[in-house]
Amino acid sequence: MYLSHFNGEVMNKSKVILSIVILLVTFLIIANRTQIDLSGSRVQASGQNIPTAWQQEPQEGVELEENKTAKNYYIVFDGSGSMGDAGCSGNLSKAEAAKGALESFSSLLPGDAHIGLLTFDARGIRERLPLGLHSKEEFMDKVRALIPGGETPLNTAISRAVESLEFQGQKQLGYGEYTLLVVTDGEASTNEDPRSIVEYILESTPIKLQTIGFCIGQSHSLNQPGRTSYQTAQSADQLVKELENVLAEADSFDQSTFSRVP
Amino acid sequence: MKFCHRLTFTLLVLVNVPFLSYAQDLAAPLAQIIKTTAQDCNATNGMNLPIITWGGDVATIYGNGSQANTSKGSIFDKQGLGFKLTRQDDFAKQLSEYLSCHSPYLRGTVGMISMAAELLNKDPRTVPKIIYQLTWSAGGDAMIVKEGIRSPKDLKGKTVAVQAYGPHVDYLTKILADAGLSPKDVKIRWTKDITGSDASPLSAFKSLDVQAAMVIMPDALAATSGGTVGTGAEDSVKGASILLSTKSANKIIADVYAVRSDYFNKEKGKVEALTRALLQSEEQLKELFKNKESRRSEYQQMLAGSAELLLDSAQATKDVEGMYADAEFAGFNGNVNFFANASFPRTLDKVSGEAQSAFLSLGLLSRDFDLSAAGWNYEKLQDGLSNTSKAEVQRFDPSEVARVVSKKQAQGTLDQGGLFSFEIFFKPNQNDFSAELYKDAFDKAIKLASTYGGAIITVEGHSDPLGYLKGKKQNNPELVLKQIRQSAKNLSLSRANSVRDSLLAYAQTKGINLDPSQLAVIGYGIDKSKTGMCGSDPCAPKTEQEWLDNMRVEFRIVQVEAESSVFKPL
Repeated sequence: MYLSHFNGEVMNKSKVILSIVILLVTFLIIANRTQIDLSGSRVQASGQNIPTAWQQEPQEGVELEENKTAKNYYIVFDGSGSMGDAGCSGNLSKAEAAKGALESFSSLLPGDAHIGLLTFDARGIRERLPLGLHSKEEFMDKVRALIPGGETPLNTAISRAVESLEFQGQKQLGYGEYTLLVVTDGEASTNEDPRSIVEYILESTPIKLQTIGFCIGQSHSLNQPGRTSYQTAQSADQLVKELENVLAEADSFDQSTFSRVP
Repeated sequence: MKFCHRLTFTLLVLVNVPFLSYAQDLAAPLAQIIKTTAQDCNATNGMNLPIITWGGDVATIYGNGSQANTSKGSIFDKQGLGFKLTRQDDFAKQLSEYLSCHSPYLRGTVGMISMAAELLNKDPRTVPKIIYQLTWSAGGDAMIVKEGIRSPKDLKGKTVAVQAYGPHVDYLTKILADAGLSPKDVKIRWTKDITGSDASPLSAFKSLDVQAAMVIMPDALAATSGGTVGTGAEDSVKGASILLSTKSANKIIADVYAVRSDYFNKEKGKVEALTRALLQSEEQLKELFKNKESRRSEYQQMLAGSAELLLDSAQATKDVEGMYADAEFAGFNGNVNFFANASFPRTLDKVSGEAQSAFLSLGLLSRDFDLSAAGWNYEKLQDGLSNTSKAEVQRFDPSEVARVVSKKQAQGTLDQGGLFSFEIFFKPNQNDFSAELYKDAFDKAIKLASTYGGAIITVEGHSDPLGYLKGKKQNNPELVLKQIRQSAKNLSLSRANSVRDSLLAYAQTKGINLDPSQLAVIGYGIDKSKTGMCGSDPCAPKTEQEWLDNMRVEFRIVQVEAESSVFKPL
């Protein structure tokens, strides 16, 4: 059957079909290696879902927030076994030092800020406060209830926090402020390296990533100077204060600033 | 509209002006065409009341007892009136009958009566007094366009088909005026008929040299394959779409009754009684529609009566329901605003004044004329009415509006639905957006919001990108740049909200209650810089003026007729 010409030759049906099969198999191999979920979301090599890109367009059924410029703080509190030990935490265990740091941090938050809290500890991984309006007392009650123990599903926890903040972002149509604070010593369990989700936050969302860390070096994805904010437990209040004086606009025009911009 | 449009409306010939053979590029003034001379009215002339095929006339028929002759016990009967209703869709014939006083009443739109003003003012007896507003067209009339025309200003230099002397002439000229165009900026192809013939705007629209047409909604739907984009199949025109209909432009076409001055002066009591009866009919008809299930028999009788008189078939009840839905009844408060509220943006004077200004430019009038109102005492006319409260109704669902606007913004299609737009500018760090600074712009926004009450007005704030660009040039940390960008976005939203609030407050001081649900705010931050985008960042301004031009708030009137979720159920 005559199908097409290629360099003057007629390709027969079987060669065309073979070409299509080869292309399809190649695609499937590539897709499998990069773990593309053909339903649309991007799946990490470890098999865990990363939320789809930050969207302004609210999905069906999402009730919009009245205050579109609300500030949102979602805290991921690592209460794993290692946090029960001391280390870069003075005389206290890391967990106790972290609780103090969170008290200091939360005392400076605006009264109308939305707060959310997810912990993983001896009781398992769970959202203790859904992102919303809560009193500081309610927040600290949940923080103090943490019992160190168990694994460190850092990637899972941060991913869930991002989902919550992104959902809130839809409710606020992308306006407002979004902060994800991770309190951790950074020692993730196997297959829980948060590198991918951290990159996603930094590259694709307006979420500010802050860390209250215990001996976390700059090779850790949660401590990237200039890209994330990092403080020790003793200086946690600085996280709230930093960036406060960043102005949205310049107050004067200086042509010389751009004299060499093409 | 759920009824069989094509079949029903091919029964209609709304205007038949004999001299206009098919379609032509010039229309002569009515004063030169209509040759009937004025005659005195006699005692029986006042019994004839013209009606036309329009949803507003359903109330008239209902008030008359749902039949041609006033029935005993009907609203009209209780006012001491006795009418014979006659459908006269031929406006030229109506004018002749008015001049000869076969009926002292005239039934038309303000635009049509304005076009006839020179003719009617030839004789002091026939100078019209506008006595009652029935409706605003709110979905029954549309402008359809071919591919490439995305907003009214794209009509410049194009050919637009419109029926001569019909209800769409001032509809067209008003859209042009709001787009900053005059009638001379387009070529007009006048047609004899409004629908249902080879001499209609829809038919002219099928010619290659016609790019737009003013049509009734059934023809608009046919041309655009049901209100989407014409495929070319059946009666549609490939690539055609509805640019806007009176669903958006819902304060342009005003349907009214007028009466001869001599009859008004002699029989003022009867004319006032008719006005009172029409007001009561409108109110009671609304109640009947609301309670149609519990008043089934009366409801069906009303529909059948109107179907018989307006569509020559008592079975065409679905069509009557559709026609009723296409009209927004003025009611008592609407009449007070239209005739007696000087601060209302769409009074008789304003609508007629705009129309006549355009007609002068088209040579349809040689000078302008005052269309005077009856000057009723509306407090007196409230008698017998149960709902004259001025409670404002919010037309839109604010959450759905925000959602639709956000969706269009995300898709980059907000500009495509934009009909008109203009900007106001501010200085660095300015937070005051009071009317003192922006009176002209606010007046313009109020006029557009009032005329296009079925469209959304987006108030779009922008931020100056210089702070971000400087920070980037100075190698500020990524974290800082991210903060600047998001702060700029929030700041621009706050600005848009301030402007919106100031506009609403300013309108209030002028006695105008704008519908807050019509105004949607957007904050673009630095993402829509006037200097353009260089990759994902705004391009740097090269001059101080370019820098200042970025600091703006844009008003955009956006047609959202396809987004049914934004409209609150009536």
